[in-house]
This record gives sequence, structure tokens and C-alpha cells, in this order.
Amino acid sequence: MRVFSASLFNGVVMIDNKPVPSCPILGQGGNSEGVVVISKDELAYIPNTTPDLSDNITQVVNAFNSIVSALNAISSGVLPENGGGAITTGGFASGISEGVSGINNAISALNELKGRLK
Amino acid sequence: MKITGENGFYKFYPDDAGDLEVWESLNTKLTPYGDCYTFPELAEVEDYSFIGWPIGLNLATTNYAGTPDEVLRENNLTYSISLKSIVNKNLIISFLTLYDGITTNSAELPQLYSINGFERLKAFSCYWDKGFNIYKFERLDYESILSFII
Repeated sequence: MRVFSASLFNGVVMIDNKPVPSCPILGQGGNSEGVVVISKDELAYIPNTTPDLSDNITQVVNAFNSIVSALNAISSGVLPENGGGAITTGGFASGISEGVSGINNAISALNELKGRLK
Repeated sequence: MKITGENGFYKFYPDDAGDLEVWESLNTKLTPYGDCYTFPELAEVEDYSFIGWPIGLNLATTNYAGTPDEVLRENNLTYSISLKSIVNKNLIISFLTLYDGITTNSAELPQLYSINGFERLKAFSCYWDKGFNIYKFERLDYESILSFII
């Protein structure tokens, strides 16, 4: 059995920039880096899916950061402006603060997961 | 010196250094190859092939990984002694000339896939007699000539 570093571009499997015709592709078939495994007359291209998962985590973290920014803006800007000053009664500020804290914990957990991707 | 030919691939196993020296002086230079010797062009055959990638001056016709001789077999290739290169086995049109004595022998190293009646030489093993410069066969395997047509 032999294993070759390979890539998939526009549906064409390439090894050292040379096409490998008739190579079955595992996965969805999007452009990717991966390997070709061949034994006798059986072969397959196996994409490295870790970059896709890493990108997904980055997108989720970015979304959470946007939510945190929006909540901070509401807490420190929009509410005092509409209420005529900083809110000193009620649980709005503390509620938002707890929410922001929870989201920041989730962001930390996601970044740690991203760092541990195989 | 023992010599084997199978799947289009030749291997030489000298008994001593003199074997190799004399054979090379009468024929052509060989290259160390694992525990034996072979023709330089065969020593460069990879243990894999991908369709369209070069094997010698040929293009591979199949995706395959195994041993170099299996790669030749799967791509219908063989070493041509006269051309000193790897060619499609269907282009071999030479005839096998064998002599029957105490052993079946030949004055020349047999070309794999050469014709003998309605068969082609698929594999062989022989012993090259340095004193008489003849090849004494231990084994001769044939395949039907029809296998090339079908």
C-alpha cells in the first residue's frame, strides 16, 4: 500500500501537480488537501477535513464576538441613552453582563477546541 | 548464474563476481537491484503507476500499487532485450528458439512474451552456463496467444 500527499481542485485529484484519473473521492468533493491511498488496483482520495472544521469554529467565534459587541453596545450605550443615564435599578445591566460572560466562556471553549483539532 | 523472467521483469543472481563480469562483457551492463541484478531501465520502474504517468517511454494505462514487476504486468509492459527499453508486450513479435538436450536450453536470453507455436513465454527461470554461454531452463511457463487477442 502507498500513501501520497494530494489535493483536489475542481474535481481533479492531483499528486505533485499531476492528475490522477479515475480516482474515487471520499467526502463531498470540494477543493481540499488530502491523501491518495492506493493498494493493488484499489485507490481513493481522502480529504483532510480538519481545515473545514477549523473554519467553522472560527465563524462561530466571530458570530459570538459580534453578539458580545452588540450586547455591550446595548448595555453601555443604547439603554443609558434612552433611559437618560446609566441604569441603576432593575437587572438589565447585570443580566446582559452575565450573558456576555457566558458567551465569552463559550468563545474560550471553542478556541481551545480549535487548538486541539487533529 | 540463475536468471528469472516474470511479468516482463528480468532478475539475475550471480554465483560469483566472475559470472556477472563475463555475462556483462558478452551482453550488456546490469544494475544492482535488491539481492540481485537487473537491466538499468527496469531498476527505475516505480512500485506504483497512475494512468497517464510515464513508465520508461510508455504511459501507464492503469492505477496500481504493488511491486515493480506487477506494475509492468498490470500495464501490459515488458522489457525488450533488443530495444533495451520497456515496451508494450503486444509489440513483442520475436520467436523463441529452444533446443532439447539433457535440459531444454537456448543460446540467447529468452525474450519474455516471445512466440513459441500458439503460445507466448509468460515466465521462465534458467541457469546461465558461463563455460558454454548457454541458458539451461528450469521452468518455462506459457500463456495462450489468444490471451492477447481477447
